[in-house]
Amino acid sequence: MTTEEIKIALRRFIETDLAPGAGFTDDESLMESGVLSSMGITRLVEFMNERFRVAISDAEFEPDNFETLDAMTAMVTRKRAA
Amino acid sequence: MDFSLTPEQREFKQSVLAFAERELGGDMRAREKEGAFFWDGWRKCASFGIQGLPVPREYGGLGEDIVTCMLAMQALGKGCRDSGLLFALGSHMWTCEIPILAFGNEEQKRTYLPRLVAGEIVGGHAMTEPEAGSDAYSLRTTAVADGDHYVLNGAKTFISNAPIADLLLVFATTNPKKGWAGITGFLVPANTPGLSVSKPLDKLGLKTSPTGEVVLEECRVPASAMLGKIGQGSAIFAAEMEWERSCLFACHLGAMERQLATCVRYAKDRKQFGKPIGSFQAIAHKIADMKVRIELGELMLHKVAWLKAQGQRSSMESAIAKLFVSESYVTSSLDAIQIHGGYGYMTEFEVERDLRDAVGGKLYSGTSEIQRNIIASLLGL
Repeated sequence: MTTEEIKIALRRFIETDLAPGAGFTDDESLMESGVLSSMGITRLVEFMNERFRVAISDAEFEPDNFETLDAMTAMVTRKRAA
Repeated sequence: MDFSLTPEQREFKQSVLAFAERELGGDMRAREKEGAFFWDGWRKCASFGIQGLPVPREYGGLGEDIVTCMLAMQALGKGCRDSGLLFALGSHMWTCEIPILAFGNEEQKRTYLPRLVAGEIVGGHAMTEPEAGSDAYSLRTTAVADGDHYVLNGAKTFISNAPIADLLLVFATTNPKKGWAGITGFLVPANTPGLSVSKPLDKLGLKTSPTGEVVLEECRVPASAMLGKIGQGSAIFAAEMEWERSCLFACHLGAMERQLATCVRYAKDRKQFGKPIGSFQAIAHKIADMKVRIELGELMLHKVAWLKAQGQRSSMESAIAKLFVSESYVTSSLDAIQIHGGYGYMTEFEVERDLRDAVGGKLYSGTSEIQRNIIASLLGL
């Protein structure tokens, strides 16, 4: 799966399941804009586990890795490559 | 599927039960009446190794896996009537030791863990506020950077262990604009200037577990007191909750096992209308339902522990386990009183205490309503 495909899948999940109708750019803070709620991030982590087969550890569960779509994509890409 | 425990786990669980029955008794009624914390029991638990259960040996702990920790807490719940002591142990381990272990740097681990394990210092965490209960992440306590320090201001309430704590993991917002993602955790010694604790709050149950309010007024802490990274507070809290929702509620399971044994004994001994009351379906069915709740609760708690032992997240399973076990404990406690009739209502017979202690379980670690919200949300609703 390419990085671009990961990004598209993440965007689709966020726009469909977590924040329908929310528009956001790849580098926009999803916390400040309220797109990603505390419950939303839990669901997002579950999605990452099921869709990309990556397990997010407690230490990785931090804002830097989830701040923007770009950051999430980078984290998933990194973990899949490891 | 193999649900059996290893011989070592079985033996350890049995040894914890024997320890609890032998050492953690005493005059519970007197302690409860005075609202007195069971310090002797605390020290005995530390000597046995309870406070060190999940902590690696290099920091003085027993380094046990989560399944074994859960089994130990279940045994404590069964063998020790002092739910306040067990609740304090839980706060100490799951909301202070575990976060330090999972998110702390080496200096923080070496500074605090050995003393927490030895029971020399008491830990807890300060999250809930007067205006931020179920909506925990809307907390208002602030942490403002000032050179190489942070200054904390705010008020916390319903803080377990606060009146006896030496160390509190305080959650504050370092970036209100980010909401839940702007919360940071700080390890604050209780004697830090600017931190004050109220006298113990009087509660319906868990009367031997000290609970208080914490006020932070220009409380200055070094930047090195930060636990994990800035903005990682919600991650720390979420990780704590997964441990709490399994291991803390394992104590409830143990208490329910003790309740069941008491009710079976009473139902066999107590005669009315010329027969043991256990021969009446109205009583027997209640006891059967108690057994069902214990078995199902145990399966769910074990699943949570197993998932975490595999390194997997257990958000859904933790919520289900916590919801089911806490509500089962209340239901079984009500039934235990009903089975014992008037004797169940009298404090002398120590049946009614379980109900008063159990009700809190539907509130702390996230209310039953919040657990249902979590489950529904994870189902996509």
